[in-house]
Amino acid sequence: MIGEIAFRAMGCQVRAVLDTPDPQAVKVLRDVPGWFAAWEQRFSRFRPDSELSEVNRRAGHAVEVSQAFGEVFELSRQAAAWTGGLVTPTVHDALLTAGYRRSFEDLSFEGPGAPAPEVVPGLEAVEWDPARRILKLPAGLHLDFGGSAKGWAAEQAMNRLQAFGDALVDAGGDIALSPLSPAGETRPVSSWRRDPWPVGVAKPFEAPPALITTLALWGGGVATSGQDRRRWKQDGAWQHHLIDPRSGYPAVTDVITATVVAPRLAQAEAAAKCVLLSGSQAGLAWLAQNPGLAALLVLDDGRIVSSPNYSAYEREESRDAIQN
Amino acid sequence: MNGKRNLAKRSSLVGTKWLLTTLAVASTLGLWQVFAGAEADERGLKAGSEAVQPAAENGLARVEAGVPAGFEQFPSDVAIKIILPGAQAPGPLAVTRSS
Repeated sequence: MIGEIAFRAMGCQVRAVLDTPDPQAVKVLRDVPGWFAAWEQRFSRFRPDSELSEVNRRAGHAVEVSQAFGEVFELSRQAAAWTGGLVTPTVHDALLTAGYRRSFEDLSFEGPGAPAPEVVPGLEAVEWDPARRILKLPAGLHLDFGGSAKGWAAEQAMNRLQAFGDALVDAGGDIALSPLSPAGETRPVSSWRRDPWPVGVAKPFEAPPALITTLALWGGGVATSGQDRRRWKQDGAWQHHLIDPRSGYPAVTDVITATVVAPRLAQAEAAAKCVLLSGSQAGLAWLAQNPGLAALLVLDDGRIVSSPNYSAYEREESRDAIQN
Repeated sequence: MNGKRNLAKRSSLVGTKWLLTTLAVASTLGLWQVFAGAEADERGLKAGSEAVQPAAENGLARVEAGVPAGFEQFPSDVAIKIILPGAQAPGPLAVTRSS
């Protein structure tokens, strides 16, 4: 049987799904909202009493951070190195400048005029001792983990749930999937699903979502970054939440949405953002250097393009007019 | 007196029959939905947290009857939806989108 629970947390809709033959096991789903509430309390930049807000307030001083905070910072650090600094948690101040000062849970969201943006600093000046979890931000630098914390939370929840069955956790479209064995291979003891996870890819700008296609995934993570959501108007111009650290402004590229499949959700999340910020040409070239990733891009001229290995992840019957 | 007792007995039988019919139809159609949920507990929910939301607001309908043996209905406001094998609707289990 499949049990599922849905609730709001971390500024998005969260769904946790457990596929298990044990009717008692689904009760563990009751715990998931509490896990997310605790993580939101730790990583929200909109809560003045969160650990992130405390770390940001103490920029210029060394602080010992929690295990969870250290893990998310470490993931963010690795993502920044992997993407050549394009995906970085140091965009906090640029987001404020662009007008993203309140949670999207607060629906009125038209910001006042903003001062000229500054180029986003890198992580080079941050002092980090992973063994002792001591973090020192330089004075004036603040962090925003954004989607990295959400993806980490989805993966954590999936890891906890997979002890009880096959698990899927969807945090606002960033999806962590427990590993299954493709048909014909030896199945792990913990795997009960006979079929791959069916995961739809949404068309941009459409609510409720219409699908471009459906993927068939045997585990790992899938994430979508887009200019189509978390948008707001400032001084009459549309802004969005994906800051290009090279300019300090919300990115302007030909990629409207980028969907990436990866062995881990953290990789999918960082890669999707990297491809969107890079634009389709540079993004697809970057993907070619990372054969473990597969991507589907929707461009501003309406075209849908994909990486060469993408078709391996798509359900045959749902294949549409997608160009490689 | 006997008349009242018979009436009560008949009402009870009708009620039981109605419940059994409803459960049989629900079972046949694979429409079991058991709702349980998360208490705002000591594992992380803080005062003022907005993480828990009533079932009525997250799009999942609440079913009052039809709890299979072994399940309990939890006095909470986040629902667990159950889909029995074979009752899963065609289409994706989740949708990736920007957020």
